[in-house]
Order: sequence, then structure tokens, then C-alpha cells
Amino acid sequence: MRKQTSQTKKDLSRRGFIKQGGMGAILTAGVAPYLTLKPRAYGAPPPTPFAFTPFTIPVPFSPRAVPANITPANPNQPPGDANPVYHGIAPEYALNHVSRAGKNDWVSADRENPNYNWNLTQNENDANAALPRFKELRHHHVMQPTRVQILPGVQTPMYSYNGVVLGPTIRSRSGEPMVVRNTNNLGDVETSIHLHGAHTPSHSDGHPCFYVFPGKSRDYYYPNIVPRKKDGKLDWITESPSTMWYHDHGNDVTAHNVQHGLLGFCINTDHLEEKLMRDGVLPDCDLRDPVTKQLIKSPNGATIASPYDLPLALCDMRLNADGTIFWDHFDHDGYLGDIICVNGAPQPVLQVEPRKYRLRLSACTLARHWVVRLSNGQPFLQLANDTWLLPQAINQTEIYMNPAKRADVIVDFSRLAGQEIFLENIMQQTGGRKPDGINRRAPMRVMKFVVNKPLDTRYKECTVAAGTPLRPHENILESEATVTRYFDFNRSNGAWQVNSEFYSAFRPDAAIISGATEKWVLRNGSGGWWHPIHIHVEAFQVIRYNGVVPKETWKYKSDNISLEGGTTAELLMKFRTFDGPFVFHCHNNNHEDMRMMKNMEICRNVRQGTTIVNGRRVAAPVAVPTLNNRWFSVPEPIVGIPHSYIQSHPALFS
Amino acid sequence: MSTATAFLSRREMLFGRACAETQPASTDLSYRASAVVARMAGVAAPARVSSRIPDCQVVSHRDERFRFISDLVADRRVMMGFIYTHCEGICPTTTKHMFEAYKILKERSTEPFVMLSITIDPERDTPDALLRYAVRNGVANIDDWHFITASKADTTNLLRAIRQNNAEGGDDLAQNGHTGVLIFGNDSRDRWGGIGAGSEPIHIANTFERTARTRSLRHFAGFGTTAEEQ
Repeated sequence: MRKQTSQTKKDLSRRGFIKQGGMGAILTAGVAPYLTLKPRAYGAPPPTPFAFTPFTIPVPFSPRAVPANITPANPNQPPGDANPVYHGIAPEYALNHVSRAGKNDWVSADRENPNYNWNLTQNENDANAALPRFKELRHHHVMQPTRVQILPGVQTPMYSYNGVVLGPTIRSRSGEPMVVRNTNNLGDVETSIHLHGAHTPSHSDGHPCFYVFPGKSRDYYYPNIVPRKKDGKLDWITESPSTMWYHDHGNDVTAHNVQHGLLGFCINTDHLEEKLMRDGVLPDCDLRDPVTKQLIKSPNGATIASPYDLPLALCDMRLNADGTIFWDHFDHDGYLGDIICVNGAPQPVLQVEPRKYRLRLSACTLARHWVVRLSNGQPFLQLANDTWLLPQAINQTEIYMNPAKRADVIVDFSRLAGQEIFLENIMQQTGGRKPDGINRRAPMRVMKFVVNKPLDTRYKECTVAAGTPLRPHENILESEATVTRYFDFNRSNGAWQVNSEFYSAFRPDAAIISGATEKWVLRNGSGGWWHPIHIHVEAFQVIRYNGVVPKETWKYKSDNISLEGGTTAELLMKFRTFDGPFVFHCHNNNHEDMRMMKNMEICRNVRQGTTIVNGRRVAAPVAVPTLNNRWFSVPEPIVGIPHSYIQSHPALFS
Repeated sequence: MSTATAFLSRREMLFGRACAETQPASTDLSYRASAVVARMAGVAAPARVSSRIPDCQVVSHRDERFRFISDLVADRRVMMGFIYTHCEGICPTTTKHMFEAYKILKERSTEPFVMLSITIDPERDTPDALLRYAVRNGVANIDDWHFITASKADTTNLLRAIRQNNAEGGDDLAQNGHTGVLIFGNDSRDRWGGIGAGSEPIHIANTFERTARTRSLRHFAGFGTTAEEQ
């Protein structure tokens, strides 16, 4: 076993959280003692039996994805053996594109308005734009096993996209259509890729049943457009995404696949954010060397594109003695690792210049909740919650991040030259079900920043400060909502349910009229479990959390919300542009795999029917889903009404 | 719907047409996914999942004695449910849904698999009691279905190993805390999964087929159009 460096030992002692007794191996492994799980009735998972010296391994960064020379599948050909791409491409690819005669050369067009090409320009008033603004971006990601050194000297087999963990960082721009071919060379496991935070067609959304089988491919078509405003125009200004991440979403294998390495970042900009970068308000995410004009490379030669704008995936790991990732196929509480990793490196270190850095923090853990802070008490300047920039930058001393939550922050090192500070997690957690609570006196160190690099004066300092306007926000009004749906997240006999039902691939649990505004009420009645709920395809706006206006960062746009034990979240959401089945689910992936998930189908077809408003049945348009439940003898569920309500009002639902 | 795709329905566009049943289910029992991944990654193959489950002595409702892993799980496809015979909660559903799923699975494929109903009340559920329970449920004569009991200590260890003991703490075999989860395994492929026993039998059958690979994956290629629905 390696010895700790004296520096680290001193640090640990000074923080006063070394405890004696039975923790020797763990301490030497550099993992704080509270990370070990409490012995439980059925026994704790074994601790990782390897030692390492924390804060010595530099943070790795995945290279930027390199465009590939692929010909997207013909969208008019059905998926299957006859199709060169077994799982095909989204039908929207044909609907949105016009084929130039004789060429497989697709020019994007707008399905709603064939005379308006969304790719021509982002400035809707720019009549001079005649050519597509962007060429279609094409990538090829091959999912394959690879060997990774997470801990020094220990070889860990993992899944990967193109041989790297995390997967290559995709760089996209709003309005730039993109096709990512995903090929599954993992041997025996089915996969499905979800671009988390994106507004995509159903076929490309990583629906858990839209698999990529071993040896097969699927062309994921990402138009990179934004939802439409009431006046019919695309809402480039308020809806453009920033930080997205892609990860596996295969039905009942999500947790296993994500923990084994199937995740990566996608960084998107639009003209508004690019202007903020050009004007020096934010660090440029495509920083080029002023002499060579090349994108900045990391020390290992991979293009990471900006040393001042860094995606940081917070993960946790647990390894077996043979180096493999510890995985308990039978534990459905939630996976909890005992090694804290950033971008796949255990408690790493980052050398920084005395200047402002944009850190795109992403909680990529399956079950671990985080409350992050900086060890010197300095606040973060939060730019974005989840995928969307906030209306203005906000100072935040502590940021709560449930699994899948992203916090895009500026950390200002400019007055810290020569110092070392730590990113800390003060949320204690000893089991997968829920965190134990915040303990500000026992921080878990996630990574170290050493401010020892000289200031590179070739690149100007960014100017963002608290209150700097970023992305305008448009509130959805509660009065716009035409439907209210209730979803109760509950546990039943060792598995998880929503509205007392397990996930069924065939059942449209919410049939939504395309373009509708809806109010959803999400409830977690149980105190013993926390459920971070993620809704696909669009951002939602939380209007009330336990009956009160939520904190600043949750008021705007989010794609996931943590339902702590016994809480209720009310949110407003619009469902636009794309129709077909999507899902929403608990993002504790172990719970999701045990069917804490629901289908929602956005429908273009509408029939006259009835719905319940304020407890009374009234005539109203009703969506006609394509998913069906004709194989079951149960009647079609009445969407939007909790079962308890139906049971207590039998006359209304006879 | 655009005219360009008029010859395909939207469902077909999205989910694909039913694929012909050209590829039989894999019968290659030497295939082991975790070992193959390890080989591709250039590391030693990890121990099988089943090696962490105790190979304890069990008795079936036919009074047959088995080693749990060696005789019932090793190199087999297996579906496990957890019951006790006087249960009035989830257990009747568990057994009923297992039977419904069994009928679907047998109708679809000839691949062999083992059904195990494991009692969490070994003191009361003797082989005789399990036989009466199996008869009551109409499944006593299914050769591949074993209702099994073991000593209290072995049952506890077994349930702990596969996390089906009382998750609320305290007595591992507490009847009010036991789970209603079905466990699916394919030991040859080292692939394991599960589903709530309250799920519809069609989903239990589908998920078992996909996890244990009793049929080719291509049946699951189409969302709602292929045999997955049938």
C-alpha cells in the first residue's frame, strides 16, 4: 500500500476528521471514514481493497468528439435487417429535411412551416440568410469495452464510447443538426442513449425500449432546435441548452451501464451564449491558441478546447479485489461507491491560474446526493441550473445536487495565488436510499485546486459577476395549464412504483396533446426514500415545492427535481415540437431499473372526449396515443387522476 | 404525415416493422458476457455473480434434495420468486404472475429454464406444505418449477446474498418486510436482473426473455410491433 504524503496527512489531521480504530486501510486509501457504510441488516458491500494517495492524480478530461464520415440511415427505409443501420433513424429526419436531388445530402427544413428553414439563420429577421448556417454534424460513437486505470496500478474493465471514459465531449450549437451513430460492440448488453437535457425526437431520445442491440447501430438524430413560442417562432433566446450529458438508458440495465462508464458530456452554445463568450463575460469554451489557431489541448494531447471552461463529472466508485467495478445485481436501493471520482479519477487535483474558471459540475452518481462547497468559504457564482443558463449569475455558497443535477458555476481563483482549496461535499450518505443529511463539520473532499500556474495573459479575464444578466427567462403561467396530473412515487414490496403501477412499455401513462401546457404534481409520500425525478424532452419550471416558492435556482428551468421524503413538487411544463413516447422516471438509476418510470406520449391526434376538471367530468379534447394496452384486460387508465382519487369517487369513474 | 413516408405508418417509422424470426435464441451456453468483456479489455475474468450466492442444501416440494447453485442455478436460466404459503399479501400475486409468465414463455420458446419459488418461512413451509401450496396454485406438476425450502440459517444467508431479506432491518425472515421481487438470471452469460412481481405477466415474461436470453433480442427491436406484444 502506498503511504499518504505528509502534506495530505497534515491536511487530514488539520481538518480533524481522522478517526482511529478499524479504519486503517480505508484511511490509507485516502477515503474519509464516514464514507464506509454502516453495517446493515444484510451486511455492507465490501470496501474497495486498494490504497491511493488523494489529490495527486490530475483531473482527466475527455477529448472533443471528432466528426466522423458516416452516411446517415435513409429515414424512409424501415429499421431492420434490410436497413444498413439496423435501428434506423428518426422519421423526423425525413420530415425535417429536404433531399437534394440525387444526393444523400439533407438540408434541414421546418416541419411546421415548410417555407421556413430553421437552420438558415438564428436571427429570424435576417432576410439575407440564404445558406444553411450549419452543416450537419456527424459523429460515430462505438460502445466498446476498455481498460481504465481508476486507481494507480489497478486495471478496471469498463464500458466506453470510442474507448474513452467519459465518452468524447460533443460540441454542438443551437440550430446545428447532428447525427450521432451509436454502435454497440459491448458483446451482450443492450443499450439506449439518452441525451440528457436535449429537446429531441422520440426515436433519438433514449427511450428505454428503443435499444441499440449488440452488434447493431442506431442513428440518433439531434436537430438541436428549441421549443416553439406561442407565436409559433422557435424560442432560441430563452430555451437554448448549455451543458448536456449523454448516458445509457437501456431498460433495467441503465444503472449497470452508467456505472460501468457509458456517459459523456455535450456542450452546446447558441448565439446568445457565444456573444457572452465573445464579449469576455464568460470564458470561451472554444479557446484557440492565438498563434497556432488550434483548439487548446490537454497535456495528453486530447483536445479539450478550453482550460478555463471544464466539465467535471462527480462520480463514486467501488472496486473489487480483481479491479472490476463492484456491482451487486440484487441491490435495488441505490449504488454507493466509496471512492469519490471526478471525471473518472479518484479525488484528483487540478492546477489552475489565478483567474475565473467555469466548472460545469455534473452529479453523475446513481444514488449519491451532494451538497458542494469550496473549502475556503468562497461562494460559487452559479451560471446555470441543469441545462439552462439562469437569468442572471447568482452567488451560492452551497449547492445541493441530487443524482443527475448539474450546476454550472464560476469559481474565482484570482485572489488565491499560491493557495490550495478543495471542492467539498458536506452531504453525508451511508445508504442508497437517501442521504443522511448535511454535516458542515465533516466535509468529504472531492478534489483539490492548486493555484500555482502563472496567469496566461494572452487570454483575457472573464467579467461575469453576481447579477450579470445571462439568459432571459419566460415564466410559464399557472393559468396556461390545461391539464393537471398527479404522480405519486411509492415503494411496493421491494420495488418502486409511480401511482401504484410498475412501468409498462405499452401503457401511455400520460397522453399529452402536442403543444399543451400542463401542471404536474409530483409527490413522494414516503419519508424513507428520496427520488430525483427526471422528465424527458423539455424543461419544467417548479412553481411550488412543499407549497412554497422554491429557491432561486429551481424557479427557472430544470430537467430534474429531488423529491425528498414526504415532499410535493408542483411544476409547469410545455410539450412541444416532437411527438411520440418519452419517459419520466426516478434518476436514482437503480430505482428506475426497478420500474419507477412512466411513459408519456405527446400526441398530434386529438379526439373529442372528456376529462376531469375540479372533480367534474367535462367535455374536452383528448390525446390519442399510439401506445396501447390492448394486450391487457384492464381498462385504459384515465390519465392525470391519482388512483386514490378514482377509488374514493367511484361514481365519477364508473 | 408527409407524403414522403406515406408507405410507412408512423408506428412503423418509429418502431420498425416486425422482424422475421430468423435468428434463434442463443444456445451457446459457453458464452459469458463478463468474461468476454474482460477479455476484450485485456483483464482477467471476474468471478461469476453466482459464486457469491451460497450453494446450500435445499429440498423441493417433491422431496428432491438439491445444492442450490450447483443443481439449480449453475449454467441455467432461472426465475426466482419468494413466498410463504400462508401469505395473504404479495405472495399469491407472485405465484400467479410467475405461472402466467411461465405459460407465455413456454408458448414462445423451447429454451429450458428453471422456476424457483423459495419460501421465507422454512420452519412452517415443509416440503409437504409447499406441495399443497403448489397443488393449490395448479403448478405442482411442472417439472421445471421447484418450490424449495432450506434450513433457517441457509435461508437467511441465501436471502441476504440476493438482497431479498427484510430490507427494513431486524429479523431477516420477517414476513411483513419481505420483498415481492422476481429475480432473473442467466448464469452462463453471468447476466442478472429483476422486476417487481406485481408487474403484468407479459412484462415479467418479456424482461425474463431479454435478461436470460431465452429468445433472440431481435424480438425486442420493435417497440410495440413485434413479438414483444404477443
